[in-house]
Amino acid sequence: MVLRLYPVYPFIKTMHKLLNTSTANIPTGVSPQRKLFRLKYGIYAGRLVCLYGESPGGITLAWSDPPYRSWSSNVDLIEDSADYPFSACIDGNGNLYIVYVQQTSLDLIFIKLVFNAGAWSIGEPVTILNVGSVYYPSITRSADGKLWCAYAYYDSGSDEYYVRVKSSADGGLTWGSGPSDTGTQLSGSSLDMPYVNLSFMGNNLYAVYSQGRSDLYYRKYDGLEEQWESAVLVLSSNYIDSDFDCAVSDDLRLGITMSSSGSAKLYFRELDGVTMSGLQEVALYKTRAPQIVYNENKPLIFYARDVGNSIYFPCYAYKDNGNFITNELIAGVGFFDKVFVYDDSAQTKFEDKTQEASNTQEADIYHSSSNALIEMTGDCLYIGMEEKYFCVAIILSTIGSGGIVVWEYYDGDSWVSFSPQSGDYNFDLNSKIVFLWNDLESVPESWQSNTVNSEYMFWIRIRVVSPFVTAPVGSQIIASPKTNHLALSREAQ
Amino acid sequence: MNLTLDYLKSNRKWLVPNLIVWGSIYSFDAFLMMVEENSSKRVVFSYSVIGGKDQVISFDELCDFNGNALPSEIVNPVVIIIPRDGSRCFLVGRPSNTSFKIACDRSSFIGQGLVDLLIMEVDLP
Repeated sequence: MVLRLYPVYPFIKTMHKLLNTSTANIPTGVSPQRKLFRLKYGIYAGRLVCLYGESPGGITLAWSDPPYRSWSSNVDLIEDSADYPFSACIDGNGNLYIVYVQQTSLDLIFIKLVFNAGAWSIGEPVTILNVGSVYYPSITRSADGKLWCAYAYYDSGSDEYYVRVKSSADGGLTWGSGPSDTGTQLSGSSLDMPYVNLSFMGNNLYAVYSQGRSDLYYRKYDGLEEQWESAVLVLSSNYIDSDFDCAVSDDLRLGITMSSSGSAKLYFRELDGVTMSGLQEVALYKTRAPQIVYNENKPLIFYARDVGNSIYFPCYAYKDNGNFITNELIAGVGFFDKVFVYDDSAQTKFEDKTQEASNTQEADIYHSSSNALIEMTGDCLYIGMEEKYFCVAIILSTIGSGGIVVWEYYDGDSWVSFSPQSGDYNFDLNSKIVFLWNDLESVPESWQSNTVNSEYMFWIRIRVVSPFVTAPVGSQIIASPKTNHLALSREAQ
Repeated sequence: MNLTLDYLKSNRKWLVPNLIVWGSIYSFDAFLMMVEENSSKRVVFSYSVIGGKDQVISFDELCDFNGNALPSEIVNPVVIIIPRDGSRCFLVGRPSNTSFKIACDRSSFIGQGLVDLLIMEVDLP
């Protein structure tokens, strides 16, 4: 008997936890909106509070204290929301300010949640706007407590959309001259839905908005002059839509990141209050749902990277010597470090298909002996990463039939079979996201690294126990689900 | 320490004294919510600590307490940190067969730490 010692290393702290499933259209909102907040002051400093759409009409709240391994039970806040995403902001006392679109009427509603003794109490709803139709609101708060809400406004008379803005100087009790006041128009008219973000930089308010899907502008509200300046074009590139975000640095620069699906690039520009930087390319591939924040006056950009076949995984970019460097965000979500096909009857049993698994080339993951991914009893697909993972996206070019596989991990002593959380999958669908476990938090503690074909990592072995009639051929295998709608935590300014 | 018997038993060990750790890991706590789309929409919370300065050490850069250089490759190495001062140092990720990353907690007030390392080769494939 060989005594094996399996060390536990203090990894980079990474957490990935399933909070809930939702039937809302966009539970965590679009990029310019805000849904996740971190309390900055007081005895509850560090607490995270998230708001999300739990159902087409329901908005819920949950919170967690460090180390964020357990979350509170859901608190249902709103039940009459339209199935469009809402937005919120937070003040230094932990009070939350929510704006949402009411179902049926498509009126714009405001609710304040007062934070006291570790809990939020729900205030009375206030109608901000009750004419026309409103979508995708954004809210922010100035240092002196004035609230601002911008939104996409649809005028049924002209059949056109505009970005409009209203403010409240009394904590949200009254907005503009009342609910029938449509607010100040910021954008030109458009047949397409616009999206807007509001950010304070010092005393000045910046509204950054997309118009006509592909043009991104900003307008500045001068806090001293109390008027809006003319629109300035940030970027014109095909199909930005809601894929942009803004943040303000401590040294007062407004950073704007935007993803263009037409050019398949992620961009960054920065405004110092007077002049705007040149356009910088952050990532040279298709992305979506970008989020930006400044850390020590350097921009950090988070986004979902498109790796083909509608699979996206979260990444981030940071600036180093003027250029952006990109990385995968979550250890255990991304490309596999090794993918081996194993033909039990072949002379060379293992073949390395790591490169083939990462790209979208069709029909390139197979063993050269069988011309199949897996076929006969004893054949295996080995997928490995240096970190534990919870999910496998499998894209096939040839769908298998008739075969049965078992899924196995190594527990330090032997291979242990298990049923994936999302159910058995015998390579009989051409595209399948297999959730091995619910999330990274629920991956078995007993799963250990071991050596397969001289590679020491965390392996899943998918082994044929009943041969295929039609053997599958693979196109892409990635350790990721289809990630979308990132919402980065924000603090009170 | 590199006894022949240890080689045969794949049980080599080295004690490396007085390593200054300047790598840092903690730079930004990234808290995110996101949606994972499948047959249902999964609302997921993620927390990642990103940034810092990489301190990557190859085994062949090190000497044990007798002054013997370590080999360039150690199979399935275990690296155990023995603190020498009040700093908190730890490995970043898993060591490879040729190198490892090490970092110091940002709470270490002088920005670096002093450690000894016990490096063991766990088993041969």
